[in-house]
Amino acid sequence: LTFLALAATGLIAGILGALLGIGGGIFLVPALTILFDLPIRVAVGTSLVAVIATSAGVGAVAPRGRGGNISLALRLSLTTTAGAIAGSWLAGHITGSVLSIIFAVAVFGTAAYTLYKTLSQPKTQGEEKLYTANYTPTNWGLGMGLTTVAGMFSGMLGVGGGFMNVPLMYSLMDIPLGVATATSNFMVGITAAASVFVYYSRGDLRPLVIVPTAFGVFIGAMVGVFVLRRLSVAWVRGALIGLLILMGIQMLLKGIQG
Amino acid sequence: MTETTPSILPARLTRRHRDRMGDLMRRASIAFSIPGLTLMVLGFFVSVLAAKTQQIPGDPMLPFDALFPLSADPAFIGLLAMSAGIVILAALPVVRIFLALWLYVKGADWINAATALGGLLELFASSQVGRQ
Repeated sequence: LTFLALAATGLIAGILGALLGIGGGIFLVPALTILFDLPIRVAVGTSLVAVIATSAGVGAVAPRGRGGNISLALRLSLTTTAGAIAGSWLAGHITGSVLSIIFAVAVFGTAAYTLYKTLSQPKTQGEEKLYTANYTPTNWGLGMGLTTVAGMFSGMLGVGGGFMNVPLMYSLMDIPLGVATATSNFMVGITAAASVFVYYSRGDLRPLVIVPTAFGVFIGAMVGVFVLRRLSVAWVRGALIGLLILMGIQMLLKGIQG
Repeated sequence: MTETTPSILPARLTRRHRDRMGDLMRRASIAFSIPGLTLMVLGFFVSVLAAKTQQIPGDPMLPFDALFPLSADPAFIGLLAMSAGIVILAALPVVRIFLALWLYVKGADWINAATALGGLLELFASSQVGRQ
Protein backbone atom coordinates (compact mmCIF):
# COMPACT_ATOMS: atom_id res chain seq x y z
CA LEU A 1 0.00 0.00 0.00
CA THR A 2 2.89 2.35 0.78
CA PHE A 3 4.34 1.71 -2.67
CA LEU A 4 0.98 2.48 -4.31
CA ALA A 5 0.74 5.69 -2.29
CA LEU A 6 4.26 6.65 -3.45
CA ALA A 7 3.27 6.01 -7.08
CA ALA A 8 0.08 8.09 -6.65
CA THR A 9 2.10 10.95 -5.10
CA GLY A 10 4.51 10.72 -8.03
CA LEU A 11 1.63 10.74 -10.50
CA ILE A 12 0.25 14.01 -9.12
CA ALA A 13 3.73 15.58 -8.98
CA GLY A 14 4.40 14.46 -12.57
CA ILE A 15 1.16 15.97 -13.90
CA LEU A 16 1.77 19.31 -12.15
CA GLY A 17 5.47 19.28 -13.03
CA ALA A 18 4.81 18.75 -16.73
CA LEU A 19 1.93 21.25 -16.83
CA LEU A 20 3.83 24.07 -15.16
CA GLY A 21 7.39 23.22 -16.23
CA ILE A 22 8.64 22.93 -12.67
CA GLY A 23 9.76 19.30 -12.55
CA GLY A 24 7.59 18.44 -9.55
CA GLY A 25 10.29 18.39 -6.87
CA ILE A 26 8.72 21.31 -5.07
CA PHE A 27 5.70 19.07 -4.27
CA LEU A 28 7.58 15.84 -3.77
CA VAL A 29 10.07 16.88 -1.09
CA PRO A 30 7.41 18.06 1.40
CA ALA A 31 5.09 15.16 0.50
CA LEU A 32 7.78 12.53 1.04
CA THR A 33 8.96 14.01 4.32
CA ILE A 34 5.51 14.75 5.77
CA LEU A 35 3.35 11.88 4.43
CA PHE A 36 5.98 9.12 4.36
CA ASP A 37 8.20 10.30 7.20
CA LEU A 38 11.35 9.98 5.09
CA PRO A 39 14.61 11.76 5.98
CA ILE A 40 15.03 15.02 4.05
CA ARG A 41 18.14 13.81 2.19
CA VAL A 42 16.32 10.69 0.95
CA ALA A 43 13.35 12.86 -0.06
CA VAL A 44 15.59 15.28 -2.01
CA GLY A 45 17.48 12.37 -3.66
CA THR A 46 14.17 10.78 -4.70
CA SER A 47 12.89 14.12 -5.93
CA LEU A 48 16.00 14.64 -8.10
CA VAL A 49 15.46 11.32 -9.91
CA ALA A 50 11.74 12.15 -10.18
CA VAL A 51 12.54 15.52 -11.80
CA ILE A 52 14.67 13.71 -14.38
CA ALA A 53 11.75 11.30 -14.94
CA THR A 54 9.42 14.29 -15.53
CA SER A 55 11.92 15.74 -17.98
CA ALA A 56 12.19 12.35 -19.74
CA GLY A 57 8.41 11.82 -19.82
CA VAL A 58 7.78 15.26 -21.32
CA GLY A 59 10.62 14.77 -23.81
CA ALA A 60 9.31 11.36 -24.87
CA VAL A 61 5.77 12.42 -25.77
CA ALA A 62 6.05 16.09 -26.77
CA PRO A 63 4.78 16.29 -30.36
CA ARG A 64 6.87 17.97 -33.06
CA GLY A 65 6.87 21.75 -32.56
CA ARG A 66 5.67 21.42 -28.96
CA GLY A 67 9.02 20.61 -27.40
CA GLY A 68 11.33 23.00 -25.60
CA ASN A 69 13.72 25.45 -27.23
CA ILE A 70 16.99 23.54 -26.71
CA SER A 71 19.25 26.46 -27.58
CA LEU A 72 17.44 28.71 -25.09
CA ALA A 73 17.44 25.94 -22.47
CA LEU A 74 21.19 25.42 -22.77
CA ARG A 75 21.95 29.14 -22.53
CA LEU A 76 19.73 29.66 -19.50
CA SER A 77 21.05 26.44 -17.94
CA LEU A 78 24.55 27.94 -18.04
CA THR A 79 23.53 30.87 -15.86
CA THR A 80 21.14 28.82 -13.69
CA THR A 81 23.81 26.24 -12.89
CA ALA A 82 26.38 28.97 -12.20
CA GLY A 83 23.85 30.58 -9.84
CA ALA A 84 23.16 27.21 -8.20
CA ILE A 85 26.87 26.67 -7.50
CA ALA A 86 27.13 30.18 -5.99
CA GLY A 87 23.89 29.57 -4.04
CA SER A 88 25.21 26.35 -2.53
CA TRP A 89 28.20 28.31 -1.24
CA LEU A 90 26.07 31.24 -0.03
CA ALA A 91 23.71 28.91 1.85
CA GLY A 92 26.37 28.39 4.49
CA HIS A 93 26.63 32.15 5.15
CA ILE A 94 22.95 33.19 5.50
CA THR A 95 20.54 32.09 8.22
CA GLY A 96 17.62 29.90 7.16
CA SER A 97 14.93 32.42 8.18
CA VAL A 98 16.54 35.33 6.28
CA LEU A 99 16.89 33.04 3.25
CA SER A 100 13.20 32.08 3.43
CA ILE A 101 12.08 35.73 3.60
CA ILE A 102 14.29 36.74 0.63
CA PHE A 103 12.91 33.77 -1.28
CA ALA A 104 9.30 34.72 -0.44
CA VAL A 105 9.88 38.31 -1.62
CA ALA A 106 11.36 37.03 -4.91
CA VAL A 107 8.44 34.64 -5.45
CA PHE A 108 5.82 37.34 -4.70
CA GLY A 109 7.66 39.72 -7.06
CA THR A 110 7.62 37.11 -9.84
CA ALA A 111 3.90 36.43 -9.31
CA ALA A 112 3.10 40.16 -9.24
CA TYR A 113 5.07 40.82 -12.45
CA THR A 114 3.37 37.92 -14.26
CA LEU A 115 -0.03 39.17 -13.12
CA TYR A 116 0.80 42.76 -14.14
CA LYS A 117 2.01 41.59 -17.56
CA THR A 118 -1.23 39.65 -18.05
CA LEU A 119 -3.49 42.53 -17.04
CA SER A 120 -1.59 45.10 -19.09
CA GLN A 121 -1.87 43.09 -22.33
CA PRO A 122 -4.06 44.85 -24.89
CA LYS A 123 -7.33 42.92 -25.47
CA THR A 124 -7.13 43.59 -29.20
CA GLN A 125 -4.29 41.06 -29.67
CA GLY A 126 -6.74 38.14 -29.80
CA GLU A 127 -6.47 34.90 -27.84
CA GLU A 128 -2.94 34.13 -26.72
CA LYS A 129 -1.54 30.80 -27.94
CA LEU A 130 0.33 28.32 -25.74
CA TYR A 131 2.66 27.42 -28.60
CA THR A 132 3.84 29.37 -31.60
CA ALA A 133 6.87 28.92 -33.81
CA ASN A 134 7.17 32.64 -34.54
CA TYR A 135 8.58 34.29 -31.48
CA THR A 136 11.77 36.13 -30.69
CA PRO A 137 13.17 35.95 -27.17
CA THR A 138 13.70 39.45 -25.77
CA ASN A 139 15.61 40.93 -22.83
CA TRP A 140 18.37 38.31 -22.99
CA GLY A 141 20.68 40.16 -20.62
CA LEU A 142 18.08 40.71 -17.91
CA GLY A 143 16.63 37.22 -18.42
CA MET A 144 19.99 35.52 -17.99
CA GLY A 145 20.78 37.71 -14.98
CA LEU A 146 17.51 36.83 -13.26
CA THR A 147 17.79 33.12 -14.06
CA THR A 148 21.19 33.28 -12.32
CA VAL A 149 19.31 34.59 -9.27
CA ALA A 150 16.73 31.78 -9.71
CA GLY A 151 19.60 29.28 -9.85
CA MET A 152 21.07 30.86 -6.72
CA PHE A 153 17.78 30.29 -4.86
CA SER A 154 17.65 26.71 -6.12
CA GLY A 155 21.20 26.13 -4.85
CA MET A 156 20.48 27.80 -1.50
CA LEU A 157 17.18 26.00 -0.89
CA GLY A 158 17.76 22.68 -2.64
CA VAL A 159 14.79 23.12 -5.00
CA GLY A 160 14.66 23.21 -8.81
CA GLY A 161 14.60 26.66 -10.41
CA GLY A 162 11.70 25.85 -12.77
CA PHE A 163 9.06 27.67 -10.74
CA MET A 164 10.94 30.95 -11.34
CA ASN A 165 12.31 30.19 -14.81
CA VAL A 166 8.87 29.70 -16.39
CA PRO A 167 7.44 33.09 -15.34
CA LEU A 168 10.75 34.79 -16.22
CA MET A 169 10.82 33.27 -19.70
CA TYR A 170 7.13 33.98 -20.24
CA SER A 171 6.76 37.45 -18.75
CA LEU A 172 10.20 38.93 -19.28
CA MET A 173 11.60 37.20 -22.37
CA ASP A 174 8.29 36.93 -24.28
CA ILE A 175 8.55 33.17 -24.79
CA PRO A 176 5.12 31.53 -25.38
CA LEU A 177 3.92 29.84 -22.18
CA GLY A 178 3.85 26.31 -23.67
CA VAL A 179 7.39 26.70 -25.02
CA ALA A 180 8.54 28.12 -21.66
CA THR A 181 7.16 25.11 -19.73
CA ALA A 182 8.69 22.59 -22.18
CA THR A 183 12.04 24.46 -22.12
CA SER A 184 11.95 24.57 -18.33
CA ASN A 185 11.27 20.82 -18.18
CA PHE A 186 14.41 20.28 -20.26
CA MET A 187 16.39 22.62 -17.99
CA VAL A 188 15.28 21.09 -14.67
CA GLY A 189 16.52 17.70 -15.90
CA ILE A 190 20.00 19.21 -16.31
CA THR A 191 19.89 20.90 -12.90
CA ALA A 192 18.78 17.65 -11.23
CA ALA A 193 21.49 15.65 -13.02
CA ALA A 194 24.10 18.01 -11.57
CA SER A 195 23.16 16.91 -8.05
CA VAL A 196 21.91 13.35 -8.41
CA PHE A 197 25.33 11.70 -8.58
CA VAL A 198 26.37 13.50 -5.41
CA TYR A 199 23.36 12.03 -3.60
CA TYR A 200 24.23 8.65 -5.09
CA SER A 201 27.77 8.78 -3.73
CA ARG A 202 26.39 9.77 -0.30
CA GLY A 203 24.04 6.75 -0.26
CA ASP A 204 20.90 8.90 -0.25
CA LEU A 205 19.28 7.30 -3.31
CA ARG A 206 16.94 4.53 -2.09
CA PRO A 207 15.57 2.44 -4.98
CA LEU A 208 12.55 1.16 -3.02
CA VAL A 209 11.31 4.75 -2.69
CA ILE A 210 12.59 6.00 -6.04
CA VAL A 211 11.11 3.28 -8.29
CA PRO A 212 7.39 3.64 -7.46
CA THR A 213 7.71 7.45 -7.23
CA ALA A 214 9.63 7.84 -10.51
CA PHE A 215 7.27 5.44 -12.28
CA GLY A 216 4.26 7.50 -11.12
CA VAL A 217 6.02 10.73 -12.08
CA PHE A 218 6.87 9.45 -15.58
CA ILE A 219 3.27 8.43 -16.27
CA GLY A 220 2.03 11.69 -14.72
CA ALA A 221 4.38 13.75 -16.91
CA MET A 222 3.00 12.09 -20.05
CA VAL A 223 -0.56 12.74 -18.84
CA GLY A 224 0.48 16.36 -18.09
CA VAL A 225 1.69 16.90 -21.69
CA PHE A 226 -1.63 15.47 -22.97
CA VAL A 227 -3.64 17.74 -20.65
CA LEU A 228 -1.51 20.80 -21.47
CA ARG A 229 -2.44 20.53 -25.15
CA ARG A 230 -6.09 20.92 -24.16
CA LEU A 231 -5.72 23.83 -21.74
CA SER A 232 -5.86 27.53 -22.50
CA VAL A 233 -3.09 29.95 -21.56
CA ALA A 234 -5.35 31.49 -18.92
CA TRP A 235 -5.63 28.20 -17.00
CA VAL A 236 -1.90 27.49 -17.02
CA ARG A 237 -1.04 31.09 -16.14
CA GLY A 238 -3.60 31.10 -13.31
CA ALA A 239 -2.21 27.83 -11.90
CA LEU A 240 1.33 29.22 -12.09
CA ILE A 241 0.44 32.44 -10.28
CA GLY A 242 -1.54 30.47 -7.67
CA LEU A 243 1.41 28.14 -7.07
CA LEU A 244 3.82 31.09 -6.71
CA ILE A 245 1.55 32.80 -4.16
CA LEU A 246 1.15 29.58 -2.13
CA MET A 247 4.89 29.00 -2.14
CA GLY A 248 5.56 32.60 -1.17
CA ILE A 249 3.17 32.38 1.80
CA GLN A 250 4.70 29.06 2.90
CA MET A 251 8.25 30.45 2.75
CA LEU A 252 7.27 33.71 4.46
CA LEU A 253 5.70 31.78 7.37
CA LYS A 254 8.78 29.58 7.57
CA GLY A 255 10.98 32.69 7.66
CA ILE A 256 8.91 34.45 10.34
CA GLN A 257 8.70 31.33 12.52
CA GLY A 258 12.51 30.99 12.26
CA MET B 1 16.15 46.80 -25.34
CA THR B 2 15.35 43.87 -27.58
CA GLU B 3 17.88 41.27 -28.66
CA THR B 4 17.25 38.37 -30.97
CA THR B 5 18.69 34.87 -30.55
CA PRO B 6 22.23 35.10 -31.84
CA SER B 7 22.93 32.33 -34.33
CA ILE B 8 25.27 31.96 -37.27
CA LEU B 9 23.02 29.33 -38.90
CA PRO B 10 21.52 30.36 -42.22
CA ALA B 11 17.86 31.27 -41.62
CA ARG B 12 16.50 28.63 -44.03
CA LEU B 13 18.21 25.85 -42.05
CA THR B 14 17.05 26.96 -38.63
CA ARG B 15 13.54 25.44 -38.73
CA ARG B 16 14.78 22.11 -40.14
CA HIS B 17 17.61 22.06 -37.66
CA ARG B 18 15.20 22.71 -34.79
CA ASP B 19 12.85 19.91 -35.93
CA ARG B 20 15.77 17.51 -36.22
CA MET B 21 16.95 18.49 -32.75
CA GLY B 22 13.44 17.92 -31.35
CA ASP B 23 13.19 14.50 -33.02
CA LEU B 24 16.59 13.47 -31.70
CA MET B 25 15.74 14.59 -28.16
CA ARG B 26 12.46 12.66 -28.30
CA ARG B 27 14.21 9.50 -29.49
CA ALA B 28 16.89 9.85 -26.81
CA SER B 29 14.23 10.33 -24.12
CA ILE B 30 12.46 7.14 -25.24
CA ALA B 31 15.71 5.18 -25.70
CA PHE B 32 16.84 5.94 -22.14
CA SER B 33 13.62 6.18 -20.16
CA ILE B 34 11.91 2.98 -21.36
CA PRO B 35 14.84 0.59 -20.66
CA GLY B 36 15.66 2.49 -17.47
CA LEU B 37 12.10 2.31 -16.13
CA THR B 38 11.68 -1.34 -17.24
CA LEU B 39 14.81 -2.35 -15.34
CA MET B 40 13.69 -0.36 -12.31
CA VAL B 41 10.22 -1.94 -12.24
CA LEU B 42 11.48 -5.50 -12.85
CA GLY B 43 14.11 -5.08 -10.15
CA PHE B 44 11.51 -3.64 -7.82
CA PHE B 45 9.23 -6.69 -8.16
CA VAL B 46 12.14 -9.14 -7.77
CA SER B 47 13.27 -7.22 -4.70
CA VAL B 48 9.80 -7.05 -3.11
CA LEU B 49 9.07 -10.75 -3.79
CA ALA B 50 12.48 -11.80 -2.44
CA ALA B 51 11.91 -10.21 0.95
CA LYS B 52 9.12 -11.13 3.35
CA THR B 53 8.79 -7.55 4.57
CA GLN B 54 9.88 -4.44 2.78
CA GLN B 55 10.09 -1.18 4.65
CA ILE B 56 10.95 2.15 3.14
CA PRO B 57 13.43 3.74 2.65
CA GLY B 58 15.21 0.36 2.18
CA ASP B 59 18.82 -0.16 1.08
CA PRO B 60 20.76 2.51 -0.80
CA MET B 61 21.67 2.05 -4.47
CA LEU B 62 24.55 -0.33 -5.06
CA PRO B 63 27.88 1.51 -5.16
CA PHE B 64 30.08 0.63 -8.16
CA ASP B 65 32.65 -1.14 -5.98
CA ALA B 66 29.95 -3.47 -4.56
CA LEU B 67 28.96 -4.89 -7.94
CA PHE B 68 31.51 -7.70 -7.83
CA PRO B 69 31.44 -10.55 -7.12
CA LEU B 70 27.97 -10.90 -8.67
CA SER B 71 25.52 -12.88 -6.59
CA ALA B 72 22.54 -15.06 -7.56
CA ASP B 73 20.62 -13.82 -4.51
CA PRO B 74 17.27 -12.40 -5.78
CA ALA B 75 17.54 -9.46 -3.38
CA PHE B 76 20.94 -8.57 -4.90
CA ILE B 77 19.65 -9.01 -8.48
CA GLY B 78 16.63 -6.84 -7.70
CA LEU B 79 18.76 -4.06 -6.20
CA LEU B 80 21.24 -4.33 -9.10
CA ALA B 81 18.46 -3.99 -11.70
CA MET B 82 16.88 -1.02 -9.88
CA SER B 83 20.28 0.68 -9.49
CA ALA B 84 21.12 0.14 -13.19
CA GLY B 85 17.71 1.53 -14.21
CA ILE B 86 18.19 4.67 -12.10
CA VAL B 87 21.70 5.24 -13.53
CA ILE B 88 20.34 4.92 -17.11
CA LEU B 89 17.52 7.39 -16.41
CA ALA B 90 19.84 9.83 -14.60
CA ALA B 91 22.27 9.80 -17.53
CA LEU B 92 19.59 11.10 -19.93
CA PRO B 93 20.07 14.88 -19.36
CA VAL B 94 23.83 14.54 -19.92
CA VAL B 95 23.25 12.47 -23.08
CA ARG B 96 20.82 15.09 -24.38
CA ILE B 97 23.46 17.84 -24.00
CA PHE B 98 26.01 15.62 -25.81
CA LEU B 99 23.51 15.08 -28.65
CA ALA B 100 22.80 18.81 -28.87
CA LEU B 101 26.55 19.50 -28.96
CA TRP B 102 26.99 16.95 -31.74
CA LEU B 103 24.17 18.47 -33.83
CA TYR B 104 25.42 22.01 -33.31
CA VAL B 105 28.96 21.07 -34.33
CA LYS B 106 27.58 19.23 -37.37
CA GLY B 107 25.56 22.31 -38.33
CA ALA B 108 28.60 24.57 -37.74
CA ASP B 109 26.55 26.50 -35.15
CA TRP B 110 29.57 27.38 -33.04
CA ILE B 111 27.84 29.70 -30.57
CA ASN B 112 25.35 27.05 -29.53
CA ALA B 113 28.06 24.36 -29.62
CA ALA B 114 30.14 26.42 -27.19
CA THR B 115 27.08 26.86 -24.97
CA ALA B 116 26.43 23.10 -24.91
CA LEU B 117 30.09 22.44 -24.13
CA GLY B 118 29.94 25.03 -21.36
CA GLY B 119 26.86 23.26 -19.98
CA LEU B 120 28.69 19.95 -19.89
CA LEU B 121 31.71 21.51 -18.18
CA GLU B 122 29.45 23.18 -15.62
CA LEU B 123 27.70 19.87 -14.91
CA PHE B 124 31.08 18.30 -14.29
CA ALA B 125 32.19 21.23 -12.12
CA SER B 126 28.99 21.22 -10.06
CA SER B 127 29.29 17.49 -9.40
CA GLN B 128 32.85 18.08 -8.18
CA VAL B 129 31.75 21.00 -5.96
CA GLY B 130 28.94 18.88 -4.49
CA ARG B 131 31.27 15.96 -3.83
CA GLN B 132 33.52 18.12 -1.60
